[in-house]
Amino acid sequence: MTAQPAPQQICELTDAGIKAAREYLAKLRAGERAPFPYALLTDRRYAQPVAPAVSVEQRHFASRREAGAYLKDRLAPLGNAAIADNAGLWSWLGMFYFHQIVGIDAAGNPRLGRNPDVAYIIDPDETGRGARRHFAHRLLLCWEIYVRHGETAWYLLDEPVGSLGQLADRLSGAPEMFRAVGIVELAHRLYADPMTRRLKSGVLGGGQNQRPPGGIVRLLDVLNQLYMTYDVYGMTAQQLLPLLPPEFARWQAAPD
Amino acid sequence: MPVRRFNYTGRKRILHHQVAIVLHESGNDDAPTFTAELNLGNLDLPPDARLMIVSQRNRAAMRFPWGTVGNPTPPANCRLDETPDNPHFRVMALDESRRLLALADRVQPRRANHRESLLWLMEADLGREVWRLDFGSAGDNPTLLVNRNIPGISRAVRYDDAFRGLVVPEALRSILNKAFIVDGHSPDDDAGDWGKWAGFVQSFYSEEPPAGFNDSENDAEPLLKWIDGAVAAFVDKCFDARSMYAATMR
Repeated sequence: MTAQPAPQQICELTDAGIKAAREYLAKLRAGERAPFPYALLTDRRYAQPVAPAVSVEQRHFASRREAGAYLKDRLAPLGNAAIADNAGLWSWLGMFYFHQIVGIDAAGNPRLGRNPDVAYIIDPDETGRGARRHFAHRLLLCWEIYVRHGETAWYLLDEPVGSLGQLADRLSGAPEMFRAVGIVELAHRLYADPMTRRLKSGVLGGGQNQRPPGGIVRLLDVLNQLYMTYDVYGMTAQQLLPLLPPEFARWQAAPD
Repeated sequence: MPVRRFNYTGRKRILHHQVAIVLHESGNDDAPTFTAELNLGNLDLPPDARLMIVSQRNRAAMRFPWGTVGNPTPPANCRLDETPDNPHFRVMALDESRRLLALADRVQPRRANHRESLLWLMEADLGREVWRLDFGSAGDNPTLLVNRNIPGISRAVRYDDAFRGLVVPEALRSILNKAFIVDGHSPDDDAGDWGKWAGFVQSFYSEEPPAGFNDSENDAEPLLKWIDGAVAAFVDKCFDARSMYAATMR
C-alpha cells in the first residue's frame, strides 16, 4: 500500500471527484489492482474544502461508536444540518477512510465484496429508492447512530465500522424509522440483550424464514401499518409497545 | 386497478386549503423559518387534541408541537435547520395516545418571497387615484398600490388585459426611471438594490445602455430613450408571454 495521506482539512468531493471515485471502485470490482487515487482527496478538481475549515486525521476505529464519536467531534463546527445531507462531504470522508472501511484480502489489496458504491460514496443526484439507501454509507451510518441515538443504540454502535449487518441494514433502509428515537429504542427493548451485549437469537430469521414472527422485518411492517393511524415517528418506545400485535410478546418477555 | 384505502379509525382529512404554511427566508445563510395558520374549525375536533407539524425533506424531518386545536401555539423556534431546502409539511391532530384524529400530508408551503417578487401588489387608500407606485426605502421592492375602494381592482391587475396594458408599462417605466436615473443604478449591474430589475430588463431587452449614463455631466436623454425602448420590448414580448408576466406581477 502506498503512503497514507497526512491529516488534512475536510473537503467535499466534487462531481468530478465522485465520478473518479466511482471509476476507482469499478476497477477494483473488475479485479484490477488499481492504486488508490490520493489525488481525490487534495486535488481541487476533485475536492473542495468545507467551510469553516475542519480537519481529520487517519486513525483506527475499533467500532462504529469510536468512529461516530470522533466524527461528531470533528464535524461539529459545520452544524448538523450542513452535514446530514452533504453527499460530497460523506463521499470525501468515505474515500479518506477507505482503507478503514473496505475489507483487505490476504495480499493486502482492497476487497469490496458485495458492498455497493454507497458504502463509500454518495451520489448527490440520486433520488427515490437509491437515496433511501444512503445510510448504508458506513461513516454516515456511524455518525447518524451516534449523534441521533447515542447509547440507546449500543447494539448498533458495538459493530465494526466496515460492516453493515442485517439489523442496521433493515433499519437504515427505512430512513424515517431509523431517525425516530422511539423506534430505535423500541428495537433496543425488543431485540438487544444487555447481558450478552448481543442481539437476541432469532431476531433476524435465517434460512428459509427471513420474516420470523416478531422479528425486525415484521416490526418494520407493523410500524408502517401503524403509521397510517398513529404519529409513530414521534412516539416513545413505551407508547409503541402496547400497540404491537401478540407475535412480539416473546421478545418483550425476554430479559431487558 | 385503483388501490382501495380503508379508514377504520375515522381519521379526518385536513384539506390543504385549511393549512397556510409560509416560508420566510432569513436573507442570509441561516435556515428559513415558517409560520402556519390552521383553519380546522369545521372538523369538529376535540379542543384538547394536540397539533403537530412536521417538516420533511429527503431523509430529514423536524417536528414542531403546535399547541392544541383549541389553543394553537407555535413553538418559539420555527427555524428549519434540518430541512432548509424546499420542505413539505405533515400536519396532524393527535389524541393523548398519539392516534391521528386528522391529517394533512405533503402540504406545500408558500414562500414569503417578497424580495423575490419584483413588484408587490397592495390595496390602499389612494383618494381619487387609481394606482400609484410606492418605492419604500432603499432596498425595498417597489409596491404597486391600487385603490381599495374600487371593487375587484386587485383581480383586475392580475387578470384584466386592458387594465394591465394601461398600468403595467407605465409602472415599469417609472421603476426604471427611479432605478437607473434617480438612483443612478447601472443597467449592467445585476447586484445591489436594483440588481434584480436590471437582470429582469436584460432578460428581454438586448440593446446596450448608453455609455456614461450615470455620469452627472451627461444628459439623461439617451438613458430615457433606452428605458422607453426597454418598456416597448417588454410590451412586445411579455403581453404575449402570460407566464412571465404573471411572474412579474406575483
